[in-house]
Amino acid sequence: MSVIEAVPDYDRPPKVREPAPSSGRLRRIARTLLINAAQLGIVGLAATFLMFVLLRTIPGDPARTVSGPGGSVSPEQIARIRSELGLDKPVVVQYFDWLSAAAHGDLGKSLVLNDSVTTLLSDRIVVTLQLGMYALAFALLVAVPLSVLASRFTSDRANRSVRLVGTLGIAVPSFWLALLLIIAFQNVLPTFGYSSISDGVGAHFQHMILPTIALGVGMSTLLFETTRASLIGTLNSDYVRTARSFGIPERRVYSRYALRNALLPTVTIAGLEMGALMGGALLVENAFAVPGMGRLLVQSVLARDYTVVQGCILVLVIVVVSVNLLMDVVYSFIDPRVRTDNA
Amino acid sequence: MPESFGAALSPSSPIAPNTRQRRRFMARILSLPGQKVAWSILFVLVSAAVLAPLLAPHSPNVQDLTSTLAPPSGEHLLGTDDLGRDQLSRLLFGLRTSLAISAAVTFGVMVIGLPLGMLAGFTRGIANTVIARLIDVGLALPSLLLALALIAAMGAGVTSTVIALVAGYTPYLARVTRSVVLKIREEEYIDSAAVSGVPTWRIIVRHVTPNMIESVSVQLTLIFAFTVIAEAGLSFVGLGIQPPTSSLGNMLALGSTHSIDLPLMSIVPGCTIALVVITLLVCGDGLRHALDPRSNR
Repeated sequence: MSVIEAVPDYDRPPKVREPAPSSGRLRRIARTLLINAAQLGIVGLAATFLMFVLLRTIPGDPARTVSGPGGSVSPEQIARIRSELGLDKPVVVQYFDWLSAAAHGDLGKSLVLNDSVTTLLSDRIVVTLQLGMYALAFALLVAVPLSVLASRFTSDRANRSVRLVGTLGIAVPSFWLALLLIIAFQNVLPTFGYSSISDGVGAHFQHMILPTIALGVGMSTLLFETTRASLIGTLNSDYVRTARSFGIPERRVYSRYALRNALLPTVTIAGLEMGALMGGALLVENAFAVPGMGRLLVQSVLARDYTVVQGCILVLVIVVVSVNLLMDVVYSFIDPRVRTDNA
Repeated sequence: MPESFGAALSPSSPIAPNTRQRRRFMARILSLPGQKVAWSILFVLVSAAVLAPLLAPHSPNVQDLTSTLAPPSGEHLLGTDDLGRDQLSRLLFGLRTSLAISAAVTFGVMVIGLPLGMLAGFTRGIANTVIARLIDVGLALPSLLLALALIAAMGAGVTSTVIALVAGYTPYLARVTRSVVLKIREEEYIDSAAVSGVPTWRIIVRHVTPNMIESVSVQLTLIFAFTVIAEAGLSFVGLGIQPPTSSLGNMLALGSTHSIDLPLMSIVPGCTIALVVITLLVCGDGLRHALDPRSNR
């Protein structure tokens, strides 16, 4: 028996590949997810109901928006438009009418643009989701390699520099960064508009690159700060020391041992920040005149086109809530210690 | 005697920091690296905003159509906009508007969020559950989205911007307050005060409030900073502060229409926003370090 073989099991670096989840664990994960989904569903319903009630308190009668400016509308006409829009019913009834129609894909008609809300939204949502996904990808692609590099430097000075980067990331708002990028790259890249991916991949990415950077930089500084901090924590942990003492190459220590655990907080923060990212997308779209939900929402708010506003909000709430749920799923599969009780 | 026992166990001075301790606290913040600079800049920014009517070389809304979009000169240090209004004066008044709005929003968030969070943290039962769920709903929505919905309902303007942002940020403060109170509630001095018959309202006023005020104040500096950005964002898309009143955000919006011929119009207000936010974040950081007993630097 050689010396190496005599090393007791508990001194070996932990196996990274976990055993396949037992059916009991899967059931517990499923239960947790179901509870989370139910809670998020209730939150989503409450949020949309709140919006719905708020939009019903618009001082100017929506019927006037429909009849257009001028004001030479008889009270009878107003009453007719009101009953056509269902505005004469109680708010709760209106809400459930709207919700059941929405479940069938009917969000009503725009009061200003002569089109159905569903049509308007289905064109725009793709653009906004693309922008959001690109920005998230950009943020991860920048933040993760940089934090691996920066995790080697742990002096006070290094900590302060990282903190400064994080502060700058918050303090430079995406819509201002957008303007700076327009000023800097006006002769190099298209600075406004959108080109669909079906009209050519090159043109599409040329149009999206500046909005992506403007939106992604803030997120990337945040992810950089988080990932570096958690990576430094993992690198100091016992199992990484054990792995190193076994002579495992540094690259492998990072890729198989440290990074995997260190990315858990990154996933959490990325999920939590998706709402803020969508909010930022609304502003960045306006800076670059990208025809997404943000532009539609802002224009509809200005035009008091409340059917479009509530449609936009419904879709955005659904996006944010589903991202949260998706993060729960991802998280419960990455982290074996996932909370399984309903705490 | 329960009363005297209670009085002995519920001292006011060791919990509420006295003036001397406060002074030492401020000295501790200022001794941290970079804090002197940050607090000085904050002082300058706030003074500039407060004294804007005295400092501004011109009236911010007076138009001079003979010198529109002028580059910086001795007369107009930052040039003029497309209506010939002095940009430096508009910047000072814009800073004033933005800081005033953020102050109002932060105050509103404090007045609503603090009692809500305390109520949710200190009581058990229905109030706790209802408020906690309300906070969840508020947090599930991005602040900006909630603010946009409220502005859709109320129309753009100063009042609706303030109300919308208060609604957007109150859940954050309420959540932090609730978690701090939940922790304080488990402390032994709260138990001993309760056991010795101190009424609940008095426990809240004398024992809970002084202990949470400092961590809440850190949160408030953050909310102040985020509000500056949020107001700028709303005004940038035309849903916040309406012209002719200048704010950092609507100056940026106007600048964006001239980003090619007069980049200074979008660079200057943007830099001001960034400076305000960085200063607030660094000051907040100093507060947090000075409050954290683990950092003895």
